[in-house]
Amino acid sequence: MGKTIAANHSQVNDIKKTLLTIGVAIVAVCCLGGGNADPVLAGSKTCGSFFLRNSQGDVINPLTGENADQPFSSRKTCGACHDYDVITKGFHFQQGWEKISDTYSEKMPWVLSDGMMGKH
Amino acid sequence: MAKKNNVFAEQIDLTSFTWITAGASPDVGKPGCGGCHPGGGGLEYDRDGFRYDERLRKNPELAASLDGDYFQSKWDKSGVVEADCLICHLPGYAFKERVKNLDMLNFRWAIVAGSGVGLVNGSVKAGEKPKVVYNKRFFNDDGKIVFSLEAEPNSENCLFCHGPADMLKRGFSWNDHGNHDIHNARNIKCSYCHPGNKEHQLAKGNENLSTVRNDLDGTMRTCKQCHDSGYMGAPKPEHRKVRPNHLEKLGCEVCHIPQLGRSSALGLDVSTGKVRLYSRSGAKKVGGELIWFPEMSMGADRKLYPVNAFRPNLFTSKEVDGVYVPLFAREVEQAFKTVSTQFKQEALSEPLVSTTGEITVMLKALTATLKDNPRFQRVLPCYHRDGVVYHFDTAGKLTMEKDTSWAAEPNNFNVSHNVAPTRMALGSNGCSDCHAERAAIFSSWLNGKHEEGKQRLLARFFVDEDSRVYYLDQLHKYNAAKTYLIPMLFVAIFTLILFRESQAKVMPMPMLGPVLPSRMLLVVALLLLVRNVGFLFLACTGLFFFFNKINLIQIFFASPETAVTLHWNGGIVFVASILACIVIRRLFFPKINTAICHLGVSGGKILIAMMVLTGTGMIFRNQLTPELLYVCSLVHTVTAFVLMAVYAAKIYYGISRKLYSLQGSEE
Repeated sequence: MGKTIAANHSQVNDIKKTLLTIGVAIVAVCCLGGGNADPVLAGSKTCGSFFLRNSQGDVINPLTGENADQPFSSRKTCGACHDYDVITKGFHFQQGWEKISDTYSEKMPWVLSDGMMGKH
Repeated sequence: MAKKNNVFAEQIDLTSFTWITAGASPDVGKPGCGGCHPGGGGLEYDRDGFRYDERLRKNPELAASLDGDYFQSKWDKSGVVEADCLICHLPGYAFKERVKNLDMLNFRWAIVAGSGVGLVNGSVKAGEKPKVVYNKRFFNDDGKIVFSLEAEPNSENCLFCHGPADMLKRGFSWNDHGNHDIHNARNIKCSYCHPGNKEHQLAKGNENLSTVRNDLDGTMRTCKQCHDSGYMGAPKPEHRKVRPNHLEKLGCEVCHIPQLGRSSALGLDVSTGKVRLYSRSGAKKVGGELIWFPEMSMGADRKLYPVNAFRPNLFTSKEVDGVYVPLFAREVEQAFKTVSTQFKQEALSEPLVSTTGEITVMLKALTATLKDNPRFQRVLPCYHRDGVVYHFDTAGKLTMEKDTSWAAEPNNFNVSHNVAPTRMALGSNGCSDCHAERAAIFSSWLNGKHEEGKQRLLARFFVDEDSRVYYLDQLHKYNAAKTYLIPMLFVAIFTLILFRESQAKVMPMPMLGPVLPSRMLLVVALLLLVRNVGFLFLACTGLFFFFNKINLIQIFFASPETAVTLHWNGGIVFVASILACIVIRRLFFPKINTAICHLGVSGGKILIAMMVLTGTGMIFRNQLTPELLYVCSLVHTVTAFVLMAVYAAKIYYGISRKLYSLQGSEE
């Protein structure tokens, strides 16, 4: 009887150890996996709080009235953290402007680029 | 758009400045060019790389120059349009406020109105200097603001621009129960399929028209890449009901976008000098509810893809060197105003200038108004519509001729969204979804396109792409007969051969020479066994293909591709065994007729040669044109049935003779 109880205790301990090991493994996999998560699926990110800035780069603070009647500039506001010039190389921004030229097309001289800005 | 350097004012169409507001109707929320252009690039810097507002402040005389960037501009007052990151990244962006402010020339202020963080009072167009009143509720005590931005833009933000633009081009809509999309129903955002890099170059599919950066075409995952790998849980298609060769000839969109629920623009009319889009017949307006079936167009990969065959009209002037120079909208508008009372102004499903009388009136008006325009060496107004160009001849009479100019290039906008659920895809209800008398997939291409008659089109078979489509249409309409006609051919040949054999004189078995190379006979017997087993294998797999028994193919071969590969490998083994047999027979048993090697039938050699030739063509199918591939396939199929019939008749006759002789010996 005593042996049976001892054996049962031993089995319970084994199960506990196994569960503990599995738990640690799951946590480890989750932590490691989280680091490599697909950024597309990682959910939304926000930029936190930041100052709006006008075209000179000066802070706009409506609470203190500082430059409070001026529009904010994305170049200075967003560009404070992000590389505005790199971002605006995208075709949504350029729309052929990076290629525009009066001599772009010899056959169709009214076509000045391959984008919406200059394309017939 | 105007060139940078101009000699006279008539040369200048839209400047960089006027481009921003061109085409806008802010009262109905319709953006101009600059509304959808998010800013930056040509809305911020001129063609010399200087910021417009700063340069014009330093050099105010530029506004009076013929510089295509500054002619009559007010950059110094309006400011420039910097890239508005919030159009895409701020959920709930007030796009209409942006459009309104751009139209008021409040270029610098548009971002404030669009973001909703403040009010913009005043209009540069009205000669005022706008002022901003920020909503303090959005700011923390330290004066910082918190925007709830999305790193991956919401689809709704993309739709500010791509909603209306792609609706007219291809009947596209999103979040629309009347025109659903299975990916949309699974909450897939635009950015999942069109991700961007640091430069914000977004992955693109393939598009025929109105594109930029064609070098980025095909940078997004294809349907196959997602669905074969199960990307984001995409189900893997099995296409059990579809013949494998269809997957080689049709883009996925052909079957999976069988119809759309909102009318695209069927055409664009510039008769009045303003852009007027007209809807497909049956719809109240562009974007109105209408079930329509896309037309089909052949892509660069020679697969068919669904498109909206857009039909714009255009006015040009033919120069002395034969080049058709497009007229500016204002030039057409000026001419139209002089004759506008002669035209009905009601909305139609076709251009306002349509009849020969109307074309004559409009071309005369253009001749008069363009008379002293210095940008033309000569004035010869032309009207382009539906592949025809109209103009006056030297006698002043209206003539029409086939349009071979750049203006006649097809305007087929790809239809690649609004994907139907699988159960609605073409083929889900069987072959008759397409192979039927009035199936849209063929008839939609042809409707209204081939007025010159079918006979002429047939005569141009192999030459003209459209006639090929016509031919295929005819063929597919009667395709259902194929499964009956070819087996009937089998029965006919079988009967004829049986009759012929029964009438033929029985030849005595050839006597072998005194020195019998028994080992070689064994080899021949083995080769004949290989030949017969090979023939059986080829016949079975061929019949599976012919009757489209995909289930059997998957049971025996796992996939159609494996079955095809094994089929042509079996063909090689079959032919090799025959050749080896012939060689051995000729070397060691010269008295025996080698016909026994190629199935023992007269003409067997020719039939097998035809099979080899057409089979080789199909192995190298990618090198053949669709017509040649089709001919190869047809000849291969018919020859295979003839060969099977001949062989079957021979076997039947041989067995019956054997039974007869056994019966005789018993008696």
